[in-house]
Amino acid sequence: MKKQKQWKQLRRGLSKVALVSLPALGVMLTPPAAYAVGEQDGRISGVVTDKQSSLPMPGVRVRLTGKNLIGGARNIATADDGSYEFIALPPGPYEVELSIEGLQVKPMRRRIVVRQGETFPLNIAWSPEEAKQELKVIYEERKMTKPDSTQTGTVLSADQQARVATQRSYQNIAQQVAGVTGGGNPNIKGAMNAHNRYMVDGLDITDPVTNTFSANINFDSIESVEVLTGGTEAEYNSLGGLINLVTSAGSNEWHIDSSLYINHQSLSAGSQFGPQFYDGARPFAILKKSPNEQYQANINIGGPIIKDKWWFHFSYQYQHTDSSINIGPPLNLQHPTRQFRGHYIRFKTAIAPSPKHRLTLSVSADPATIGNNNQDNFHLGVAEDYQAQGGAFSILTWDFFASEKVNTKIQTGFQLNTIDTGPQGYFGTIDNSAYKGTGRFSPANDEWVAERPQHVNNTDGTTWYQGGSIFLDKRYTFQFDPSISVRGNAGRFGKHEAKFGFQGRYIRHTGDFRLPGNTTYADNGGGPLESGICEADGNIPTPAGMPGRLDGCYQKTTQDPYTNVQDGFSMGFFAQDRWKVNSWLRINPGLRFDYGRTTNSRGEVVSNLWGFGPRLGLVFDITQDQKTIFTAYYGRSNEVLSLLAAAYADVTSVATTYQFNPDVNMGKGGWDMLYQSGGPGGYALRPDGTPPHTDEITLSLRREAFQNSVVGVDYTYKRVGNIWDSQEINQIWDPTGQRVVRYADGKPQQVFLYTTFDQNWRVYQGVDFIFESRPRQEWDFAVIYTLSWLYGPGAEQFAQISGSQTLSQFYNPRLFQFYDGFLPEDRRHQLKIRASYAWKGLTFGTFLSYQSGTPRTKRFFNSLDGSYTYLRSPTGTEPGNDPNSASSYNDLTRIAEFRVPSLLVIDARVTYDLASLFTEKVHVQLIADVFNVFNLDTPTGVVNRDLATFGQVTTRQAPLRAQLGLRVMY
Amino acid sequence: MGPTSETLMTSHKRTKLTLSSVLTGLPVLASGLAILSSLACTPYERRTGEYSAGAVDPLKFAAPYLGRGGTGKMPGMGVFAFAKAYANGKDVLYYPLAFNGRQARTADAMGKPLDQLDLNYLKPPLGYVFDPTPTETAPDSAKCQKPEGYVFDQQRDAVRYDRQGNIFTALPIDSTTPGSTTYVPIINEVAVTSNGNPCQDIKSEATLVKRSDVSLDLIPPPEGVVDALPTGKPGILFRAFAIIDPAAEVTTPKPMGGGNGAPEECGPETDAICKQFHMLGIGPQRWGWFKQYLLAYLDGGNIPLQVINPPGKQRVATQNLYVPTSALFWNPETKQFEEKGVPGPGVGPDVFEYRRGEAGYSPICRIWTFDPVDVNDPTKLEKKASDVQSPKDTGKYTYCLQAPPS
Repeated sequence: MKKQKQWKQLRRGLSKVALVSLPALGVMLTPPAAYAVGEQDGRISGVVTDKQSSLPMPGVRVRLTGKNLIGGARNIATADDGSYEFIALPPGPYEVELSIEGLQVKPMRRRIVVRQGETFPLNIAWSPEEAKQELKVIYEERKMTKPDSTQTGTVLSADQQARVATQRSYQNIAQQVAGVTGGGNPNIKGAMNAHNRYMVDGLDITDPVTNTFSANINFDSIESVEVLTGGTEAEYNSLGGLINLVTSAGSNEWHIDSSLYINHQSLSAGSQFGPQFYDGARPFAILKKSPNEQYQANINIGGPIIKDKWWFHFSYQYQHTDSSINIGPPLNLQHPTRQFRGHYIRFKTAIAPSPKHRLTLSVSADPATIGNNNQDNFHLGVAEDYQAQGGAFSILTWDFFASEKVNTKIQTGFQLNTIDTGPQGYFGTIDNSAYKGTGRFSPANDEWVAERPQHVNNTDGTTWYQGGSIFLDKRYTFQFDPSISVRGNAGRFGKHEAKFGFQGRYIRHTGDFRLPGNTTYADNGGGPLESGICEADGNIPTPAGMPGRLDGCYQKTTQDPYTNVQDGFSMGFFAQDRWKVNSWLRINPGLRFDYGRTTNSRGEVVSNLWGFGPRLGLVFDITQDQKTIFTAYYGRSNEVLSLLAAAYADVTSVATTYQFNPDVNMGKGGWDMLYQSGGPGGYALRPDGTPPHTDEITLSLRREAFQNSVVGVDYTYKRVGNIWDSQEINQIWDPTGQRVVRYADGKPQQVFLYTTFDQNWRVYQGVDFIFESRPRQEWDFAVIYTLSWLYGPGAEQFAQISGSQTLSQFYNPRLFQFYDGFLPEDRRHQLKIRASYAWKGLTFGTFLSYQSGTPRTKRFFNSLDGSYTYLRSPTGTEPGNDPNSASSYNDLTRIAEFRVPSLLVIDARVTYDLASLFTEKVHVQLIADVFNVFNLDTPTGVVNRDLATFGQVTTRQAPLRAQLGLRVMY
Repeated sequence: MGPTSETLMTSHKRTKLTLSSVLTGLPVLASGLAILSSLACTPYERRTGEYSAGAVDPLKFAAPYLGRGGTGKMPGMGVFAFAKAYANGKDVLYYPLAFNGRQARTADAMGKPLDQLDLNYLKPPLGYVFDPTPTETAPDSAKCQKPEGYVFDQQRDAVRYDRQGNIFTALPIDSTTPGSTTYVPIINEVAVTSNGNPCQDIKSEATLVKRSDVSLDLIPPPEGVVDALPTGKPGILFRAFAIIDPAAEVTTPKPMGGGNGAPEECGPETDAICKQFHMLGIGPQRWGWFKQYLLAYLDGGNIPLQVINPPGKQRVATQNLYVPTSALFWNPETKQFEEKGVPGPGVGPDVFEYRRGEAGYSPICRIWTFDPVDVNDPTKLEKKASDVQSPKDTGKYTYCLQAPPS
C-alpha cells in the first residue's frame, strides 16, 4: 500500500514533468519513420511500467543510441499509456536509456539487439525511486517473438554468422532457416527456386529473366540477412520467400575489416569412390584427389565523413574457388576442375543532412567467370562449358520523415547483368590434361575446334567434342518504389499503422545465340562412349582412308544464329494496415494490385497479367506480455512480370531435326527431315491467363522460452498455381507417346504455346519446430526441425528446372498423367542445428544439417526426341523392375519411390581472437574451419536414365575440407 | 547484486486472459491437424481409380513381338510391315508373324513330336472381350457409357473414350533363356457384356471381375487362398490377338492414286482401310489393357477349331498360304522393278485360300510355295488359290493375320 501511494504521488509529479518536458523532447525528437517491419529496418516497441504497481509511466524519457544509427541519438517520451516506439532503426545493437527529466534518478540502461524487419518488444518495469545507482549493462537482449507480425522466417546477423563455418555467401547461409532447402537459389517452403525475391537494402534485385539471385555481394559488407518464408504483408509479392540483405553503411567510428581465407588442396580429404551406392573409397586405386581449393581475400573500410551526418562503407572481395567431382562412370577419369573467379565490389554511403531526411546510395559490381561449368562425368574437357557473368547495380533511397505520423520513402535502382555462356574452348582454353596422350580417346578430343558440332551419345549419355550453344545475354532493370506511411490512433478503433506504396519495374533482355557448327548430333545405337559417335557428315576426323562410322547415327539438329530482345514492365500498388485492436489482438489486413506486361522482339504481347493479392493476418498476444504470440495468416501473391516467357516465346532461327536413314545414298545413309521447331511459327501465345500465384495459410505459435530465446511451431500450407510453362500443340502422338504420327497443321514442326496453366501447380505442407536462443552473449543456439511434403504436377517452369522443354508435363500428352507425385525438391525431414560458444576470445561454432533425400524420376528413351524424355512411372518414382524377372515389368505394385540418400553435413569453426595482445579496438582472429567434419561421402546424384549405369552415383557430397583464416578488424 | 538484476526487470506477468486458454490450444490443434492431413493426403491425384498406367513396357518381349528392327530397350524402333497378298482374286492386307518359342518347336527334348496347333498344349491365356460377336472379332465395344458430349480428339486422347478396350491377362514376355517363350498370340475369349460401364474405365482383370456394371461368367477363386479373385470362365472361342510393342509402327500401304503403282500402294479392296489408317497416322493395331497398362495387338480374327476326337481336345484349323518363290521388287535407287527370290511369307504377293470374313478363314496358315507362272506379266499374277500351280507343302505354319475390315 505504501508503495502504491508513493507511486501515485510520483505519478502526479511525473505528469507535471511530462507536460513541461514534452515540448522540449519534441524538439529533440528524431522524426519517426514508417513502420518498417519486413524492410531493411527494425524497431523497438514497448511499455514502461512501474515495477511495484504495474501502472504505466507516462513522460519517461527514453533515449536510444546505436552504432548503426545515423543522425545521432534519438529521444522520445513515453505516452500516457506508458508506451513508446522507435522505428526505422538500422539493425544492430542499441542502448536504451530511461530517465526522468527533472528528477534526480539514475538512468536505467538496457542493451538490446534490433533485428532487421522485426520489432523488439521491450517492456520495462522500472522503479525510479529505487534506482539508487546506475545499473551496469551486462547482456545484450534479443527478442524474437515478433509480437506484431505474421511473417515467418528469421534474421541472420553478421556477428552470428562469424561464429560458424559457412560458405560465406548470403545464398548459402539462407539454408540455416526453417523451410529453406536447395542450393544457391533456394526452395523456400515448397516454391520453385525461381519464385523467390532477392532484395538489397530493400530494393528488389531479382534477376528479370530467371527470377533467381542476380548478384553476389561481399559477405563482410552484409550486416544481416532477413529470410522471410511466409506470412508476408502486402508490401511484398513473392511466390516463394524473400531474402533481404542489409548492408553496412558505415558508422561514426572508423572500421577496417580485412580477412584472408585459405583452403589449399592439401587441406582437403578428397578421395575417389566406386560408382555404386554401396561403394566407398577406393583404397588401392592410384588416383589423384579430386581438386578442391578455395581462397578468399576481403577488405572493408567504413567510417564517418561527417560525424552523425555522413557515413560510408567500401568493400572488396576476391573469390577464387576450384572444385571438382570424383571420378565416376561412364568416362571414369578426373573431370576438369570448375574454376570460379569473382570480384565483388561495393560502396555505400548514408547521409542524414537533417533529422527529417536520410539518403543512402550504393553501387555494387560482381564480375565473375566460371570455367568447366558442367561438372559431370559425361563430358571430357573439350566438351565443357564456360560462363562469364556479373554486372552492376546502384540503389538510391530517400527517407523523408515529414512528421511524427507521416513519412515517405523513395527507392530507385538500376541494374545491368550479363551472362555469357558457351563452350569452354570458345571463351578460354580447354583442360585436356586427364586424357590427352592416354590413347583412350581419339585425337579429336585433344583440341577444341570452333565449328565442330557437339555429339551426345544417348547410349550412355556422354557428350563429345564441343560444349553447348553460345549465348550472350544482357539484362537490364530499372525500378522505382515510392511509399508513404501513416500512423495514428483511431480512438475506440485502436491504433493503426498503414503503408501505401507503388512499385514500378522496367526490365529488358537481349540474347545472341549461336550453335557451334550450326549443328548438334543425338547419336544412338552405336555403342558406348566415342565408339557410338556418328561420323556420317565428315566433321570428325577419321583415320585416313577409313569410312566414318554410321552405327551411332540417329538424329541431328541444325540451327542458325539469331538475336532477340524482350521488354517488360510492371506496376504494383499496395496498402497494408496494422490495426492494434486491443492489448492482445492485432489485425493486419493488406491488399495489392499488380499489373505486368511483356513483349517480344516482334512487339507481340507475351504476357498481360493482372493480379489481386489480399492479405489478412491475425496476431494474438496470448499472455499480453509480447511473449506468447499466435498468428494466423492468409495471403495471395501474384507474379505478373517475368521475361522468361518472352525469352522463350520469341523469334528464333528454325531448328531442323533430321533422322538418319541408313538405306539411302547407295547404302551410305543420309538424313531425312523429321520435324522443325523455333522460327516465326514455333510458338503461340496466350498472354491473358491467370498469373502465377501463391495461396498461403500460415499458423504460428511463438513463445519466449527464457531469456533471449524463442520456441515456436509454424504450420504452412502453400499452393503455387498457374506456373508458367509451354505446351507443345502441333504434334499428334501415337497412343504410347513414343512416336509422332502426324501434325495438327500438317507441317512437321513443334509449336509451343506459352501461358500459365491451371494444371501446373504444387502444394507444400510443412510444420517447423524452431528453437532459437542467445541466452548470454557467449552462446548462440538454433535448432530447427521441419517435417514437410511437397507434391503436385508443377515440377517445371519452361525448361528452367529440368533443362529441356521435352521434360515438361505439357510436351507429350501421353505422359501427362505421370507428372504427379512428390516433386524433385521434396524433403521429408530436415534438422538444422547451429550452435556456438565463446570463451575468452575462443569461439567454437558448428552447423549441422540433416536432410532426407530428394526424389528422382527414372527416364526412358524416346525415339522421336532421341533422348531420355519418357516416363513409365510418376515423378519421384521408378518402375521397380527386376531385370532378372520378366514378370516384374508392367506391375504397378512394384513402382517404388526413388530418392537419393539422406544427407548429413557438419561444419565447424574455431576462432581465436588475439585482441588481448593488442588494444581493445584491434581484433586479430585466427580462424579454422572444417567442412564435412566426418568426411561423409553420401551420394547426391545418381544416373536416373534408363542406361546400363542406372542408379550409379554421379556425385557425392564434397569431402572434408579445412580452411584457415586470418581476420583483422579495427 | 546478482548478475540477473536487469534481466529480472523484464515483465513476467502471468496470464490473466480467459481467452488465452482457448488460443493456446488452437495452434497445437492446428499443427496436429496439419500433420494428420498431410499424412492422409496422396500426392498422386492423377492416379486415382482405374487410372491408365501408361503404355506397356516391351523390354522383356520376345523378339517377334517387337517388330523388325525392334528393341525392347527403345520402344518404337520396330516395324510391323504390311504384306500385300491376294485371296479369291481380291487384294488383302496381312501381317505375318512366325511361330515363336515353345510353339515353334516341333519336337521335345526327347524327340517326341509336339503338336504346334494343339490348344490344350499351348494353353492360350484368357482375354476379356467386351460385347463380342460369335464368329468374326468385333471392333472395340461402343456399348459403354461415353462422357457427355465426347468427341474423340486424337491429339488429346490416347484411346477413344467412346469405346471400351479389351482386357488381356498375359504379355508376350520372353523366357529367361530367350527363345522359349510359352506365350502364344491367341486368347481364349471370356465374353463380357457391357451394362452401363463408363468407357475405358476398366483396365484390368482384377477390376473387371469385381465390377457390377458388366456381366460375365466367373469361376470362383480357390478356397483358402487369401485375397484371391474370381477369374473369367473361358468360352469356346479363340482369337488371334498378337500383342506387340505398343510403340512399334504398324505400316499400311498408301491409299490408291498417290503412288506409282508399286507394291506399297493399296489395292481396291483394301483402299478404304488404308485411307482410314493414313488419316490417323497409325496402322490397324488395336488397343487394350493389361493390369492398367495400355497395350497394342494385331487382330487376326477368330481362330477356327478342328472337329476332332476325342471330344475336349482343341486344335487349330488352318488355311493354306501360298508363297511365290520369286517376285518383282521396286528398287528406289534404279527406280525400276527387279525380279528377286522370295525368302518366305510376307515378301512377295502371297496367295491365301480365304479372305477374312469368309468361311474357312484362319489367321494361322500352313505354308506352301509355288513358282509363279510369269513374274513379269501382271496379268498372270496368281490371285486365287486355284491359280497356284504345283504348290509344295513346306509342312510349316505361320500366323497370317489379315487386317480387320474397315
